[in-house]
Amino acid sequence: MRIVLGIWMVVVVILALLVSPPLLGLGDAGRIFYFHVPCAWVSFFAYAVAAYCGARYLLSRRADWDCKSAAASQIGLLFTVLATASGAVWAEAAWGQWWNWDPRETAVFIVLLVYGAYFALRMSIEQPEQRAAISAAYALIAIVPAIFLIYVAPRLVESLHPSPVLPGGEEKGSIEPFIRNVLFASLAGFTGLFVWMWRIQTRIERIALGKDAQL
Amino acid sequence: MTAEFTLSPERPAEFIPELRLVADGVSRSFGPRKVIRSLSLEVASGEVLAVRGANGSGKSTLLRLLAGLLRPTGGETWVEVRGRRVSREQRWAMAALAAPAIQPYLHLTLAENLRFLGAARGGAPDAGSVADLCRLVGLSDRRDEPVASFSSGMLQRVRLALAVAARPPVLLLDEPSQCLDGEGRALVAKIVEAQRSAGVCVIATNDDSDAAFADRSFVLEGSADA
Amino acid sequence: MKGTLRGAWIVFLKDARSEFRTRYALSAILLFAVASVALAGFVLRGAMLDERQAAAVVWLIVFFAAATGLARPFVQEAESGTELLLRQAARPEAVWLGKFAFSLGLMAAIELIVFPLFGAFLGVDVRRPGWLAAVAAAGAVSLSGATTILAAMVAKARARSSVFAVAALPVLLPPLVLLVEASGPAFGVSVGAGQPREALLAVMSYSGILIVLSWFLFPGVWEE
Repeated sequence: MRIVLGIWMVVVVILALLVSPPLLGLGDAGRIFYFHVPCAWVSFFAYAVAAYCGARYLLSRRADWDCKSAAASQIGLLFTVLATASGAVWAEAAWGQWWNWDPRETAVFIVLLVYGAYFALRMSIEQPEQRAAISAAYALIAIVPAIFLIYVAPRLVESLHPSPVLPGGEEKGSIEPFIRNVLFASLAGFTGLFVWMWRIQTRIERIALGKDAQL
Repeated sequence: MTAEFTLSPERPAEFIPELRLVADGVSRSFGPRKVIRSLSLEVASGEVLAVRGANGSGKSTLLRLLAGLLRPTGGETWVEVRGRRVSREQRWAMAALAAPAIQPYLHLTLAENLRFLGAARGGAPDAGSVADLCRLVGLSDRRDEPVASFSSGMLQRVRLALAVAARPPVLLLDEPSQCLDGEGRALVAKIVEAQRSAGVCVIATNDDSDAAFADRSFVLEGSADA
Repeated sequence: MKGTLRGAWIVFLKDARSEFRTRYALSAILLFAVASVALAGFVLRGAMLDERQAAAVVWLIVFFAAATGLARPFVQEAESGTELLLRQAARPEAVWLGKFAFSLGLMAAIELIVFPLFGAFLGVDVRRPGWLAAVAAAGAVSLSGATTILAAMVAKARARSSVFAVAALPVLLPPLVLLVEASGPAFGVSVGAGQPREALLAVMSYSGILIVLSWFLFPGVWEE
C-alpha cells in the first residue's frame, strides 16, 4: 500500500505543479488549491472517523476503538492545521492578507479550538476506561460544532471564500475537466494518506496503552 | 409507596424467597491492571457472605460490580428471583452499597440525606421511617444537623443508614465496622441479621468480628502488585 | 419517563438546597457576573456602542459567567465524593435532567443580573424587551444544555475548572455568535438588517441537537 500511495502522490504532485495550467487567475500560487482542498476534506473526514470510532467504543467498550478514535482526531487536527496554513497562503495570494477573519477562517479556527480541547480533556483524565469513554463522547459532541462550522455557518454569512467544490459543487461546471480530475486524484491520494497515517497512529496508541501484544 | 421505604429491624422488608445474586466469570481491569479476574460466586436469600482478601485484592471493586455500579470488563453479574433475571432497571433499585468511598451530602442534615435517597429511589419517605432510621443508627438527637459536623464514626453510621434506607433486597457492606465503637459494631450485627430475613447480604472485610456474621467466606487472591 | 422526571426534580431540589445552604459558590458566580458587567461599564465608559457591539459585549459577559459557573453541579459532586451516592440514588437520565435544570436556573440568575445591570451601566436602551427575553431564554437553554454533559466529563478530569472552560468555549462559540446576531432587534438594529429570526432558530436547532445527543451519551459518561 505504501508504495502505491507513494507513486500516486508523486504523480499528483507532478500533475499539480508542472502539468496543470495556472489556476484561478492567481498564477502559480493558485496551485495550492490542489492541496488545500484535500487537507480540508481529510480533516473533516478524520473527525467523522473519530466520532464513528467513539460511538463504537461506547457500544462495545473495547479499548481498540478508543485507540482508533484518538488516532483519527490527532490526524484530523494535523490536517486542520495544514488546511488553515494553506488557506492563509491562498488568502495572501488572492486578497493580499494572511488572515482577515473571514467566516470560513473563523470557522476553521474554532474547529481547531474544539479539537484542541479534545486533547486537553483527554490528557487530563488518568484512568484509561474513563478517558476512553469521555474522549469518545466528546468526539461525538464535537462533530456537531464541526458540521455546523464547516457546512452551515459559511452559508449563513457572506464569505469571500469560494463555495466548496466538493461536495455540493455548484461550481462544477466552471472547472475544466482536467483540473477537476487532478483534484479528484489529489483527494483520493490524501484520503489514502490519511488511512495510512491513521493505521500507524492507531498502533502507536495501542502500544501506549500496552495493548499491542493482544491484538 | 411508604411501605417500600420503611425498613427497620423491627419491621423487616418483605422476604423475597428465591432471590439469588450471581457473578459469572466476572472480571474488571483498570487500564492494564486486572483487579478482578474471571470470578464466579452466588449468594442466595437468607445468606450472608463475607468477602475477604488482602488490601488491594479487589474487595471494593467486587462489591461495586455486584451492586451494578461498575461495568464489568468481562462476564456479568445479575440478580434473579425464582430463576428469572431481573432487568437492569429493577436490579438498580434492588441493590444498595455502603462503602468508605461513599460520602453523604455534607451540607444536608442526616434527615435530609435520608429523605433525598428515599425519595430519589422511588419511595415517599414519611417522617416515621426517617425517625426509625435515625434511631436505628443511634443518631436521633443529631438528625437535623448538617452531616459536615459529624465525626468519622458517625459518618460511618450515616453510610449504613443510607444503605438500609433504600430497603434493598441486596445489601452490600464494604468495611462496615470501620471507625465504629462497640455500640456501632452491635449496630452492624443488627443490620446484618435484619438483612438475613430481607434478602442477600455481602460484607467485604478484613475484620474477624465482621466476618463472624457470615455463613461462609469468599477469599480473593492477589494483591496490589498482582 | 414519569420516574425520570420525578428523579430529576428530586436531584434538582437536593442541589438547590445544598447550594443555598452554603451559598459561597452561588454568590461567587453571581458576583463574578456583577463584577464583569461593572468592569465592562468602566472600561467602555463614554464609548458609544452601536447595537451590535452592545449585544456582543453583553453576551460575552454572560458567556464567561457561564464558563465559570456551569461546571459546578458535577464538579461539586466529584470534589465532595458524593458521586457514588448519587449514582445509587438516581438513574443517569434523572441525574442529567436534574443537573440540566439546576444549570438552567443558574443561567437564568446570571442573565437576570447581567442584562438589567448592563442596560443601567452602559445606558443601552432595550427597544423590544419581549424579543430580548425570548433570545435570553434560548441562550440560557442552549448554554446550560450544551454544557451539562461537559461538566460531567470534566468532573472526572484533573484541573477541572480550567479544563471546563477550554472544553466548553469552542462548543458554545457558534450559539454565542448566533445569539449576538439574534439580539440585534432588541437593541434597536432595524428590522431587515441581519437575520435575527433565522439566527434564533439556528441557536435552537444547534442546542436541540446537542441536548438530544447529550441525553443519549450521558449514561456512558456517568457510569463507570
